[in-house]
Amino acid sequence: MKNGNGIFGSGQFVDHLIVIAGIMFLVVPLWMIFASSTHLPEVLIRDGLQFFPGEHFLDTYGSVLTERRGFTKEVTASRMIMNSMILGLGFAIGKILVSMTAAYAIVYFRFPLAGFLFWVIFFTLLLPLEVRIIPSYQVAAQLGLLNTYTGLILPLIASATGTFFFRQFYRSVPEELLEAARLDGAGPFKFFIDILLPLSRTMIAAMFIFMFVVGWNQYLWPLLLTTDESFTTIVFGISSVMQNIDESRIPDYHRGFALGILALIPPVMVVVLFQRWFIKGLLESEK
Amino acid sequence: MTSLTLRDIEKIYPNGTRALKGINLDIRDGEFMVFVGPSGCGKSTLLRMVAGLETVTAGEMLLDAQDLTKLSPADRDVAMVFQNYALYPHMNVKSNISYALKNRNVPRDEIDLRVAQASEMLNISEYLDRKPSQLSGGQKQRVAMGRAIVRKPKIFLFDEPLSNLDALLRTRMRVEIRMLQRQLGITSIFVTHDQIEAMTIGDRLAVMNNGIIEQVGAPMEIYSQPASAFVASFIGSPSINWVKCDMLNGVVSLFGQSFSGFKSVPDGPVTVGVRPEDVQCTKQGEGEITVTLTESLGAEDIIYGTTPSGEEIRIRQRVIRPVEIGTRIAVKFAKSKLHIFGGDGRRVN
Repeated sequence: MKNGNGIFGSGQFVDHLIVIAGIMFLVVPLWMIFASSTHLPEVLIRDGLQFFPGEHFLDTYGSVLTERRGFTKEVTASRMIMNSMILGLGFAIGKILVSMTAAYAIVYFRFPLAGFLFWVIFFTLLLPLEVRIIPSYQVAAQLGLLNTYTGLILPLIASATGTFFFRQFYRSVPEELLEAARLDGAGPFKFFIDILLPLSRTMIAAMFIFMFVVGWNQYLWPLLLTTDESFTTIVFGISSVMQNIDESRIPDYHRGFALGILALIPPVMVVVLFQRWFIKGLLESEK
Repeated sequence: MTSLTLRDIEKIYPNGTRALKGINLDIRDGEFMVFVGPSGCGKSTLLRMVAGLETVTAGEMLLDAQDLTKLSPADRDVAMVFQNYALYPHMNVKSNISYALKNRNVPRDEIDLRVAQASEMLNISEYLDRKPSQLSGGQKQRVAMGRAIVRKPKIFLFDEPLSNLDALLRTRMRVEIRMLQRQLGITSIFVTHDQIEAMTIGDRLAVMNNGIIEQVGAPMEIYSQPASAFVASFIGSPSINWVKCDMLNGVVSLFGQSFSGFKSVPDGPVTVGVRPEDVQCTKQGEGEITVTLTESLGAEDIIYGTTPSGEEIRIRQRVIRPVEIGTRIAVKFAKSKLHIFGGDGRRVN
């Protein structure tokens, strides 16, 4: 790598080839979806996926974002993006808050059965939403949470993964910091806000990325919990466009593709933004 | 006036380990007290109990007649410097130092004034905006001390604060801590396992072993009149020489030399200790001790030899004439330099 042979140095050439192949593998399908989304569905049906952009970028994306669709003709893509955004942010912020405080209690307070309770929380990792979706639905329904944002977010807000990661992180924080803070007159709440929270920045950034994407990609739960189309998320919206064959015409492939591209932007933005913060924190923080 | 009184302090951990077995100690106003002992002797536990970081199983802990055991660490008016400094990594030096004052709702002007005073005293004024990760070990140490000083506590607690520094810096910080303590006149407790550090820094030492205090006293008192065999061997470098022999009618003989007049000592086996510098090398070329190694420290030599019974003996003397390895030497000691310990390890002479 460092023998100065440049890009065509024997080892480096192969390295670059592999890297470039990997990037192509990921980017080309995305590009084709984007290019295809700027063509009319007739072209796509006749000639297959397109590699070069067509002439319908503005009208396709413009109409997708503003045109009311669905059975009730009430949701636009912007509305769907907003719904997904609420879901993604709600998941990310809520899960981080809940798991941070849960882990804080488990690590820093000696209460009976703390260890046992942690493993109970951890055990729920083995029970994904799909397994318990009917009882979860029933609970949400009885609480009157159908067709509400609260219902979409609250029942899924407890996170075993988050709790586990924060617990591991807190355990790595030197005990002396807690002791110094105690001598400095910081109570449990102050210690959490003044010391632990700032130290957890990188962990929070990492969690935010994961949890936002999880929330954004939720499909089954919104499908089950909402019947009101004003709660449609973008991920759900894509499928509804693509299934649109009941009107006995060609499905709006280009719209589906456009929605796909739109659905991609916010998570990518989150990853890009928080990645920087994440890495900056990793370099800066020294425990 | 600040004095700390420890009465029958006991510490028993939940797993049943008895870490401290009845500690009694009076620490006087303005005194620099050092807890010294091997690892696991309970010195850090005792310090942490004064700080309130460990609970007291039994006993009394009075700071100016006020019972400490019922107070939370924050209310005890003690400040502590930790071994790894325990600076808050995300705060700059100034915030680190002022954090305790902020929590006590000290007015902003007062905080600024005290931080300025403390940082000037410790020569860290120019680092106030830096993060701990941008400081060297010695600077971190100063910040940790600054954090303690600004609080103007009744007692300073130091938990092996120098053990993370390199040898040169350690010696310098030792002097600085000592001078600072003199200057501020604040009662201090310093924990260390390093006997040289203990000897040089403390007004008085409490030598601890296995959860008890073996001896309390000024450094020279402990060095010249060790109360137990443990204290004698723990303090001093190179360590004290031990010779096992028998006491008969107040007479004990070692290496052909007889010492009489130990009337108060009962007959039976005793252990005699002689410091390496109290051993005088008399004849070269003949005698009972075979020289196995010599170390030259410049001003003095350390001579290692073996006795006929196979015990190692260390002699420390000013360089007079180089001693060859393998030669035989004879030794003698003054009676006043003998430390005689009975079977239970307590001093008998």
